[in-house]
Amino acid sequence: MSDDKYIAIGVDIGGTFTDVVVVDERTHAIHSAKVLTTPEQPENAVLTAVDEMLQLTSAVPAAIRTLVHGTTLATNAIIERKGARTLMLTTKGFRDALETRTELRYDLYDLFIQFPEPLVPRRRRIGITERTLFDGSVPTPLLANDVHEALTSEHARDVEAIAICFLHSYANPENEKAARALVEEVLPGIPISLSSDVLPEIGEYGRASTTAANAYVQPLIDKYLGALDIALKDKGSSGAFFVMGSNAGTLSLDVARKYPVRLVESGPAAGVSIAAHYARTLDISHLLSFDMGGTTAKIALVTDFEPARATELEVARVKRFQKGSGLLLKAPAVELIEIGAGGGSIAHVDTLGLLSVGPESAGSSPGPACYSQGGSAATVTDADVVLGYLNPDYFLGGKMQLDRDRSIAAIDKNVGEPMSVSATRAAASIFEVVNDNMANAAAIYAAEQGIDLRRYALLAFGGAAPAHAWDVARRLGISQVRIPFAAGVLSALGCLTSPMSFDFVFGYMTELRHVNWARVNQRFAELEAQGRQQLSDADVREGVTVTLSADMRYYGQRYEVTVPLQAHPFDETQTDQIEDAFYAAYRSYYGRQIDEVPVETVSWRMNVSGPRPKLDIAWPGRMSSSGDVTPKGERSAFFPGSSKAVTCSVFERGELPVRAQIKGPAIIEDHESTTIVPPGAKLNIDNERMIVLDISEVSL
Amino acid sequence: MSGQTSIDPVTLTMWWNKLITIVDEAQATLLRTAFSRIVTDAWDFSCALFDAKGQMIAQGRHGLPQFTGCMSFALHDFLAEFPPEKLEPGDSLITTDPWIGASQINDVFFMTPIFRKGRIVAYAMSVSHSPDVGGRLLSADSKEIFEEGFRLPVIKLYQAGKPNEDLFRIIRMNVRVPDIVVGDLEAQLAANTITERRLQAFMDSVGRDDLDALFEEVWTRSDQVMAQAIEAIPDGVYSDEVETDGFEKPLKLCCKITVDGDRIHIDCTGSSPQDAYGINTTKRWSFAEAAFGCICTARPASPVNGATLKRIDYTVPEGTVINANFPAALGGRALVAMYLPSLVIRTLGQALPDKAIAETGAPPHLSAFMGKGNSGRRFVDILFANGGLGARPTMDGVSSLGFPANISGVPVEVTENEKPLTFLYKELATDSGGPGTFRGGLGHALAVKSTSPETMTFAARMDRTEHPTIGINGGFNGAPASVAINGETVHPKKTRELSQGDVFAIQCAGGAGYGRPAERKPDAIAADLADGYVSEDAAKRDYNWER
Repeated sequence: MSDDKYIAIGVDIGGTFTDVVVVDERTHAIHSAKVLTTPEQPENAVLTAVDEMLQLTSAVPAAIRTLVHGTTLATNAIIERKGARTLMLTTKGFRDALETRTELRYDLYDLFIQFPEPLVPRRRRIGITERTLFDGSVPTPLLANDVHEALTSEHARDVEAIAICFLHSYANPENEKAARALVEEVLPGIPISLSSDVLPEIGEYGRASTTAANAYVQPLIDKYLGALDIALKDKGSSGAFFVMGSNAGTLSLDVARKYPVRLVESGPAAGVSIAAHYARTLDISHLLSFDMGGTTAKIALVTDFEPARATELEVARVKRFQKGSGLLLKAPAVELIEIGAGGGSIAHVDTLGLLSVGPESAGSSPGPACYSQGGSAATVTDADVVLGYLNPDYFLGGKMQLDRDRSIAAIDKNVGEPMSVSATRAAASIFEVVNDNMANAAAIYAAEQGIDLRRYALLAFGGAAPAHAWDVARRLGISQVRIPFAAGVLSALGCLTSPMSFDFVFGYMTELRHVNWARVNQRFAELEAQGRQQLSDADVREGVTVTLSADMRYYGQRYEVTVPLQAHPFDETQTDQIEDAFYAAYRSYYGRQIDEVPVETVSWRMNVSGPRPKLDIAWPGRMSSSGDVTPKGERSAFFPGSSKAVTCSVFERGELPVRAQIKGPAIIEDHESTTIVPPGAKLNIDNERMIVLDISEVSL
Repeated sequence: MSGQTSIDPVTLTMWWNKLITIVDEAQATLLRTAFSRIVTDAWDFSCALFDAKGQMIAQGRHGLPQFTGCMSFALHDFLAEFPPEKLEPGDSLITTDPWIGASQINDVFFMTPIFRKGRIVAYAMSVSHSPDVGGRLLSADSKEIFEEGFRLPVIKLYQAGKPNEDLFRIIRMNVRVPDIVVGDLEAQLAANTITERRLQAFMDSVGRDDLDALFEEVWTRSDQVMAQAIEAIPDGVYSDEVETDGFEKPLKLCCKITVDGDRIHIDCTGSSPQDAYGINTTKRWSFAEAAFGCICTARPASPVNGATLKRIDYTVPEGTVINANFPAALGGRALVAMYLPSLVIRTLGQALPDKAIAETGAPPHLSAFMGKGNSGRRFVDILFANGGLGARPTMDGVSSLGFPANISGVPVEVTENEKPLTFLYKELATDSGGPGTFRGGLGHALAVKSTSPETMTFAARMDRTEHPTIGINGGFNGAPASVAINGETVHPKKTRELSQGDVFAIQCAGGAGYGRPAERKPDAIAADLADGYVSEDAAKRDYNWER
């Protein structure tokens, strides 16, 4: 850090609000703000927020050392179908891979099942005479005339982006590159996404889908990032500008503009990133990140200080939260479990007389009944009001008045009466069912991965999480719950804790015993050079880490496990060791191994990362040696399993000093969220001003 | 704590979810560790949880819906052979008898009793299609079950936790790929073990030593919901029939459905007699297919389990192609029985016109083939391809979709890496979707060329080459399927040898149309033309389209 550049800014552009945090690295002071997102020109909100932040810290733009931001722009472009008019060139005879997907139904009994429209319609998917085989040989070179015809055809008119995805291009990109050269001649300047570049992995559907999405969002992201870059420079900032990737690593501007498909989970990844940050600073190796907002809850695991990662994700699901109903993107991402459970989730009683909550949501408009905006559905927030958890006069710090009577009426009508129970009892049931839904989703995931969640602590953030965290944790056998300070802008803060990082992959399918190691070494060497170049272009040369893995399986299976590999280069003397690593990984998933069946490799992966930024923050607030605190009042609340109201002391969060200790039942309020401390739970405030709840002795 | 008073609705919601989650987890384990392509790609597998009475309480959210039916009955056959007093902790039993199981000799039914405090409190079951059971290549042209491989009666594969080594030796000796076959059996054991372990942990967490009250509640409610769903169908007698290609001559399937209050009776009397070739099915399987059609149309609002089937009665005479007697050959079970869901849906559509869709291009293409792979290793595999979903009363059918079996397409790149085949094309077949106000989904067409210096065996398994899908409410038929070798149309159900350079080409049937084509929106026709789903000629012919 140079002395004249000491400002780090994290920005999280959400659908409604753009959150900004700024850290003054000389004083370690932190400031935050929320401004309204400006969907047409999102850079405006960012620039407004940056100005505001600079004023607060009395700094000049030249003092900005780094600006990192997370954005939902790529996701929204796909969901709202606002991306580029894209033309896709495919191998002749194979243009429908994008449309026929996996051919699987995500609902076994639905005759009216629907799937998302492909990002590139069939009329703009054009077959080209060319062929590469799985071994990289090229029996049919590219027929240039086909490319010319495609580019001048009726359907190529006004296209804004080109995707090229040929069979087996992961094994040899020659034909794709030849096609790119032709496109550059005919349509100079048009953005081109090559599947061998975007995702050189085996499997034509996944590769086509990912490449199409990259091309589809590229012009938009390119324009936005370009505009923002220029605007920041115009202000006089020469700081480094990064974008949060879906994998919880940051990307330089150039890389983000080239591979925008890697930004699809940019926003949520920043949230997981802050969880990983706290795991490290608090020395909690196993942390479950629990973010519950208005319509969804997102759960992610940090294991051994690292976020769990996935090699693919799904966007734009046509059936909410139903796996298999969205577009597949094979882009590295943090593994997120998304559940249709939030403050706005609607409760209703089905034909069986059973209560269900979500995934339908009242959203923010009309919102829960208590918002008095015309909503009549019984929502989770209404239940929280009826149970006494939320203070109707102090919602968002009193900015919004809640109407408890409307909550009672909505719950009575939609849940209480059909189930013949009181509104309070019905509200407690809503609270329990929504918590159980979230806990169940986490439990399924953990079980699939062979993970014991009882070893984890739960980190809760997002508007609704602090009220629900203890019960979700209890259902998972987790005894410690942590609620960080400034929970409302944590994602923005997460941006400042992420290293630069890029994941590479290449497809090479063969039995482990037959691997041509020279080929593997060469690919890895090329990718490492590329990764180091990316970092070095952003002035990162020290502290670079390179990690390798391979997706492997038994010969004949269809699902792989990811096996960590030692540093390259490899040779055949390491085969036994790699095979043992596969057995170990397989055993940890499935509890057994098979000795007689050969092992096969499918994909090879490399991550190149820069050093992790250190975040050193002095949180505002009081220190106290006694730990004594005085409540600002009290109110009664209901807890599941008990029909009687319990009197809870109510505290203002900002007033709680470090090392404060409180016994439940208690309620901690601030203007962002409300933390519920159930009877028997113990609370204390740690040095980071984080609420630490011990729920091991909750007595209901 | 059996005999406890009923469980409150909120607890029931959460516990019911828990049971399904347990079975889902068992299924995930099986899917990810299995070798058989019919499991990994056709999802021809399932896991289920049964109560102590043998009632199927929960099945996984995925897997093959048809197995629900088969498993419900199969457990009783297991118990008839080995009643609870002959079972002990650590036992696991299997059978591959197709008349007990799912009408195919490869389907291994694997059952594990779950004990707690010395008493059986539940049963776990998994079904998985074994990659090989000896005999000839899985095909439609066998004439007796004995050609198709060896069968195992209900027998203990594990007793008190110890493997039945003699049985494992017999199995290993009789299959082409013994390690993989045994690997799959262990995967099934692992799946059942997960079910048991999670159920025990669940009982620990709720402090109960049995779940009889919960099971009873789930059973009763599921039954009530299905009763409500059936009651919503107008009472009456509805009938229809369909013709299939058959092996040598067309076959007929008849379907008379009587809806009476809260019961449905499906009567398939009049269907063709048992066939000389392996396209027959057992009653259990044909019931499962018919019941699947019922469930899709009635759409009960609760998870499907054994109780969902209680109110569906089924009659089909013995000795018919869908209730074949021993020792009928059954290797092409899908080729006739997979007409049944569409037939039932169409028949019920007479009562529920808004809920029925036009015929789907099923059965899918499922030719088995074997030879030597690119690694020099011997393989047995299936080349799957799907037809189009029938058009719906409010929207077009989906192209190339796994229905009624949820069959996924294997990527071309994966197949070419493994097998000595080069694809010449794999694309949706233009004009294969039946014209209509709403168009049927398109079928897949593909061609592969053998690059193997050694001969490969291909057992063609395809239907609908003579019998395209039938449109409803004025919708037109879909295009028929086809099978050709080197450009010559060949018998769609015979086993053949493929030499190097030979080209095997198929086209799957398109889904049928719904409503009169004249009423299709001009925008939709124009879009179909632009996208090449429909050709200019066909648009002129079927829609009177003028540019």
